[in-house]
Amino acid sequence: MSGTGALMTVHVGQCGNQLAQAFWKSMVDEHGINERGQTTHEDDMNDKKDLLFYQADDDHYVPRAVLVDLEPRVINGMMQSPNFSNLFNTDNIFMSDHGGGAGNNWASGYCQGQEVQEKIMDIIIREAENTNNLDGILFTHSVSGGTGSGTGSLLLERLREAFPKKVIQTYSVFANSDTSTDVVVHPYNWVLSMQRLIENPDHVVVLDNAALHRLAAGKFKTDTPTFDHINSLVARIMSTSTAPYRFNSAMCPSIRYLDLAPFPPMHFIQSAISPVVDPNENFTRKTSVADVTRFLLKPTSMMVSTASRVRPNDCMLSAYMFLQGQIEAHTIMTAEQNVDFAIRRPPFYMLKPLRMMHAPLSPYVRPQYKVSGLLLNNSTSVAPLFESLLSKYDKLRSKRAFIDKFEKIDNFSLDMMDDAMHIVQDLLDEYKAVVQKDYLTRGL
Amino acid sequence: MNEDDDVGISVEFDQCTQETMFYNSCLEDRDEGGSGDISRADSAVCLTTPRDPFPAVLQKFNSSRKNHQIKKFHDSNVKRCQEYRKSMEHQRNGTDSYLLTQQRLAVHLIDFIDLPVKKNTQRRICTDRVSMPLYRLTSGGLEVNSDYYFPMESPYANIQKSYLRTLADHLTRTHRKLNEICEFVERCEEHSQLMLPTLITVLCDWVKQFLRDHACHLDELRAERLEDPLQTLARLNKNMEEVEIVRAVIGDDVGRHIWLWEDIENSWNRVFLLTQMDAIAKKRDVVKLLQNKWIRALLSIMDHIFEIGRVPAAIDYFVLHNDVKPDAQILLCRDIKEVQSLLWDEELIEIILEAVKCRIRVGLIEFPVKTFTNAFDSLRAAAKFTEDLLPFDEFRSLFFDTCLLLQDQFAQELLNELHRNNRFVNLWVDLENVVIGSISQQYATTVFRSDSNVTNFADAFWLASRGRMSKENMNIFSWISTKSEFTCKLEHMLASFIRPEVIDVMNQCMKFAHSAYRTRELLVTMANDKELLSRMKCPQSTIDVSLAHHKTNAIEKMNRALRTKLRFFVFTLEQVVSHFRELFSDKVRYVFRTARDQIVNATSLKQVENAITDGHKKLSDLVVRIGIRRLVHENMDMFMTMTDEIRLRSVSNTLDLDYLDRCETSVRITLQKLLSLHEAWGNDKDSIFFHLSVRIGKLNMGT
Repeated sequence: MSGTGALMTVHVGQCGNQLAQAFWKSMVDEHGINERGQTTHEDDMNDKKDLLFYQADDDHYVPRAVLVDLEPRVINGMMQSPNFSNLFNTDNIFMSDHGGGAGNNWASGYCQGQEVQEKIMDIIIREAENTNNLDGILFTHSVSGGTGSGTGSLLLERLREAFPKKVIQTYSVFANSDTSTDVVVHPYNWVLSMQRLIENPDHVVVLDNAALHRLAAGKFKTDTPTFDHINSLVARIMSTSTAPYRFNSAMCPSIRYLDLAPFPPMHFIQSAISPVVDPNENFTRKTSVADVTRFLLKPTSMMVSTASRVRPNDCMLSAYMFLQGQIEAHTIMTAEQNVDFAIRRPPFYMLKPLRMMHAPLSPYVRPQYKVSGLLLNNSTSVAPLFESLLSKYDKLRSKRAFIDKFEKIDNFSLDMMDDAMHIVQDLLDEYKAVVQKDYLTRGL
Repeated sequence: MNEDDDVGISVEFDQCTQETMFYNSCLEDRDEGGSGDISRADSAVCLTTPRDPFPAVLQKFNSSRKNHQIKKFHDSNVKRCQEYRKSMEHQRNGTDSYLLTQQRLAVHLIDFIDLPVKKNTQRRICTDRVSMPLYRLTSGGLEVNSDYYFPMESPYANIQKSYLRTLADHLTRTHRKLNEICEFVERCEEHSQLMLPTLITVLCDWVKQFLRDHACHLDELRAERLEDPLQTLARLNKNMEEVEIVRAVIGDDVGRHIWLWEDIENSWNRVFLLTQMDAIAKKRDVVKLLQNKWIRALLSIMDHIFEIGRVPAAIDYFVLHNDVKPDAQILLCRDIKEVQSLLWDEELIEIILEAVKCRIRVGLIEFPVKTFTNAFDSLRAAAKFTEDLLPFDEFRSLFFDTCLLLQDQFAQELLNELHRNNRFVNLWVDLENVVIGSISQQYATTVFRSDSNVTNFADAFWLASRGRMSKENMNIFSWISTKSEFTCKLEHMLASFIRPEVIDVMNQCMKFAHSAYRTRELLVTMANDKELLSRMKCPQSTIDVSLAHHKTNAIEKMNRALRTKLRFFVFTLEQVVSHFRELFSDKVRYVFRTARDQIVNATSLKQVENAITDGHKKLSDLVVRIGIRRLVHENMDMFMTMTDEIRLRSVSNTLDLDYLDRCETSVRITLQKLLSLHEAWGNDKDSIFFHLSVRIGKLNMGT
């Protein structure tokens, strides 16, 4: 018998697993589950725990999560923490036997992944088969390192192959593109990952490290935001974006209903959250729907560093704004009416591409704000980020800088890199074309 | 024995049998303690009479009347009594009996307004009447028996004829009325007790009692041996007036064999009017008697109505009547506008029907406890009426207050019952969940998603309800797979609020939501079906072959355009359907929640009923296909049909660009038409068209 859809999460690499920590910490709180997987509250009718958790034979809840890393440090640390040591299913954790990691090298991660992919896929397929109705997979990783980008790319290919009709949504952390980074080859890693992100997932939520740092530095009253700061922001994005499915929203009851990408492969989603406040600071603002909406639609609020490169003909292709808190229906209506003029859409669009909805909140957690919001925005304004990263790639590639690190990996050829670059270039061409009037009929 | 006195008894009788009957019939007139009037002189053996001054009275009464046992007479007494009678008869048959004296004239006058000789004999044993009375009423009028005469030495001898006539003229009217009254009683007695309308039975009983008392009073008057006819007439005045009153109360019923309810209402009116006319009412015991009888009769009917919720089976001629259907519990009211009822008006009837409705809903009172009578009596006691006789105005006011009191009391009982354990609110919330909430959503998700393997829809509904419905209501909901509807086996009380027509409308709302969900699911499935989109090709018949030859990759470009257009149109259509569904759901949810809040905060039953009625009306408005709503529903139908068609064409590879263009155009036109309605309606912010215009933004009509 078909039932409520379920989601599985796959966390790959150091970054992906750190995001897992923040995300699952938030999930257990929001679903009223303690560190041993037991419920701490009486069940609420709207709480769909089964979406992300399954119940073990003794009825305690276990996250439907698969943790993958080629080095054990992060996952071990996680499993030793009192919050998670008894929560996850240890059978769902994959750590490489040698534990050496991928050395920030996409090719290494991809090729090591090929050796262990069957084991990992076994875990994922077993977990999927244990579920009545898998609606989709949430995938967290970084695209600039080795495991998240390399092994992550391979897993994305395998996941699409194994689950052609399921929604795959990635939360992909893009390297800080404006400042120096510890991964000098990140443009290579990025371009290779991008090809898989273009071809496989349904949605890619782009989490630009630079923007996250900028936001954290601005809001958290610190010059050097920690990973915890950043991860808490990402966890909030993930938490709010899944809230409609987790707490029974009629408008968006399942991830399948999140139609963010009407023109694949233009499925790169920017996100923004509001308000963002340092939890250690006193919160003195009075939030309102109008205020939150205005903030979310500002280009500078996007967690992608493209604000300085805003182009006049950038268009919104599809966007969802989830508003949470004490909200009257008519205030959303008013806000929706007010933002219509601010949204630029492709010339052939019939309707407004933005959908605003009241997203449910956890019944067990007291909300920090009266009104808060998340915008998931599929806009052509993400293209400059890719252009910038692509130019960095071109710069390195033209000098063949550090290319030897890739060449020495077995089963890797530079053609893969060039193919990836062409595919990214095609994507950028699509972003340019979609704002044209004749996009739907071009070539005819 | 005084030789001047007339003697004689007109009727032979079995003394003991008659005595037993007499006492039995009188028992009901006495109080329970036996402290009733014991001074009545109409006993069979009380043979004292002006006609029969001799023999001496054997005894005044049989025994103490407080002891209701019948004593047996001693045989010697009975024998002696019979001997006297023979002697009296002998004497009466002599010519001396026609000799008039003042004393005899007084008795003849009394005789004239006494009951006709052969009437009412069961109650009156010893009439002490002569067979040839002095006065008779014939068709020609008053007739004085010329055999009677004053002795020559009497001063009246010369004026005998006019004198006798003048005296009796005053009594003619009363005599006639009395005859009519007796006819009424006779006529009533021809019917079975069960066949008579209650009020007529009450009237008849009262009239019989009146006749008994009347006859008794005349007997007492005779026993006084009044010597002055004029004084006798004066003493008869009270009786005459009472006869007038009784006759007036009987009114048209006197000659009636068949009664309609309107006749009975008119009778009631006469009865009521009797107590309204203070001048008559206040000094008449006879009126008090009648009032006591009819009040008890009326209250007894009301007891039945307020406890069982039905008019007693035998009461056919009441203003309220039962529905003829065998299992019907509805009390119906006749058209009271047809009669000018003094008691009933629309307001009072509504109160009673309301109270009965509440009573039936809370549960009937199986063991009668005189609910209405007790409430009436307590109100009457509280009102502290000093008069024995209740003026009709006061009675009506008390009656009205009693109805109101009981209505409030029953309504409060019902309200408490509804609010007990939040049973009604819980049911309402569950209904909302089934119609538009989480259960509806879950059912639709389970049944309509593309990979659904549901074969038993009833099970799917049950599974959807599990955990989302309050436990006490889990077993009352079920699913009719053939109709795709839910049913709700509500217990008696809840069913009276949530009528089948409300459930019908809810089902229609649910079906609309399910249809919209199904369409949306179909579109979402298409949007997520990457294999379908990637293999989509233009049908061969639609490809321009010459173009394909001229341009490189022309077919591939057309295919790509088809995929892009299809994906985008699915995106657009899903958005439109989603908005329609959302607006509809919001409205339905709003109706449910408003009604729920009203029910929770209701302090009176009326508020609960209004909330449900209002909710029912608003839900009906949402699904009714009339006027502008018809347009909206038809548009939604079009979107649904369009989705099915696109899906069918896409899987059968017959979808082409032209068809998609036509679909897109018709969606644009439809939306434009709906949005123009928003402007036409003065940009009303409460209208669905305003909400739609906000949701879809500024509509781009394309080129």
